[in-house]
Amino acid sequence: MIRILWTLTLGLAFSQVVRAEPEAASGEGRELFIARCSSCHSVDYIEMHARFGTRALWESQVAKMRNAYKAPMTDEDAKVIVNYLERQYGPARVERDQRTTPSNSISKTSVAPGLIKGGAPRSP
Amino acid sequence: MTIEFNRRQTLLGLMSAAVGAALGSVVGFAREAVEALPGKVALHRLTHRPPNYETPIRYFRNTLTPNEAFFVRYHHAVIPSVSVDEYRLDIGGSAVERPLVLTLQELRRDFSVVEVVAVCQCSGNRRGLFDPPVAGLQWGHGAMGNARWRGVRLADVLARAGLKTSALEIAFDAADAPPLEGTPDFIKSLPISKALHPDTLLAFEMNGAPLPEVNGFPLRLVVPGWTATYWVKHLNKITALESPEKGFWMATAYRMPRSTFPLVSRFPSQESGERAPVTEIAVNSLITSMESDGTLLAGRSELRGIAWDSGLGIDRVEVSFDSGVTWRRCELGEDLGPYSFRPWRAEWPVLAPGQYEVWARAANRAGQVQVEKPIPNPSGYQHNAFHRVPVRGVA
Repeated sequence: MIRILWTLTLGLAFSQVVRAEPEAASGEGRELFIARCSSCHSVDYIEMHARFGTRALWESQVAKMRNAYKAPMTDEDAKVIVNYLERQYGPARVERDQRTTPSNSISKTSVAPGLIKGGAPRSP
Repeated sequence: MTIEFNRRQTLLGLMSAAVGAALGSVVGFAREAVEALPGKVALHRLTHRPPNYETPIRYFRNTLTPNEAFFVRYHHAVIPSVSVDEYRLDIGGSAVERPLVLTLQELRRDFSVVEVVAVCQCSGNRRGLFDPPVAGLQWGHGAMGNARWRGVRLADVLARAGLKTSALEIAFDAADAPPLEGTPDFIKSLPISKALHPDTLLAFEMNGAPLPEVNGFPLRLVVPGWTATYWVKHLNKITALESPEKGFWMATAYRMPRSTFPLVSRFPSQESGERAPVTEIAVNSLITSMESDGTLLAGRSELRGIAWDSGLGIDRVEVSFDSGVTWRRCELGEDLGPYSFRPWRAEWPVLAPGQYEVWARAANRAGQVQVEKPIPNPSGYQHNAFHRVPVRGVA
């Protein structure tokens, strides 16, 4: 309970400087993804892997979350979540976004800005 | 807890942060998330929660990285706001004679206060530059910083508690925690040799000011020469162990195949199995004087940068304008000590028309030199390939 309160306090403190979190992409499995994953981390952890988000990558990451970090989910949950991640945060999705997004504006898709960025050197 | 997303809020946040950093209209920047945490300037955001933010390269034009621009890295989302009055540091474990509890005031009053300039660099700095890609935080060049750390020697505090000869490792725990009870708490350990090294500090200040909240206030471990994974923030518990620390963050995470790096400074009691812990920072360099589009203007941009290693000392920095065929030695700048960034500068040669990159590489006094391609390893640690920057304006 104390931990939950800390998290709430933090959320409030950060929201004062307008730190709204990005939202998970819509698609089948989204609600389960939020329920099982978002208590520990924001969805940008997912977005930054999208440029190489193959099924194998998502399977290994979900397994790591379950085994190492003890994320609470059943085998069936894991399948639904891997399917969701592969469809919404895989290379195919990145290509779709790049086609539909003008290069000089913030992404207008439901995926938060930043999905498309990869490991390219950042601006100085 | 999920904070509900609101596009207008996010746009406002991104815009105000970008304007604050005077970055708004820079080419290719619209998609780069820049945001300010409390007490910080706008940094490149990797993740909101837990917060992971990297320092833009231009801040490395200072030898000491400003506190407000210093990178932020957390493993767990539950981050405490520690009150100085209520803060206590516990020192115990089976390998001390006299367990202690110290306040911040007692730490400052009862022990010699010392300073060291040292680079704090994430083991996974530049992970996002590995090709093929490696899972994990996709850092660029900025998961690092250099500061003048002020605090007391860990060795002095351990001496007060009476370290037994049976002590094998010293373990460090902190006030931050995972949201789920089952997730392994972030606990790191050091071998006795490193823990007792006179440069290993419990620091309460950086660059003459208290630690920023998100950089470990009120006290963090400073382990000069070793990667930031050991630099535990919000430190509140020190345990002297007679057997190796076995938690996830030592036994499984932050390890590399033994063969991948020549290790001068090792951690023998943690070297079971095929992988050994990441320890010392690999020799590295960075060009810092790029124009706002990330390129250098031939003959016109300054040609400057920094180099650093694990404290063995930078011997030389060289630049190449012909993809590594020939190298020119750079002039080294101010020396703030062996663990610090060492600034360097170079002159432009006369370049024939063509397309160029400037490559930079550093070598240290032990003969270790940066590599042309990063050494692949499963977790993407210790990326120390040459820094390569495109040159414009050679018609």
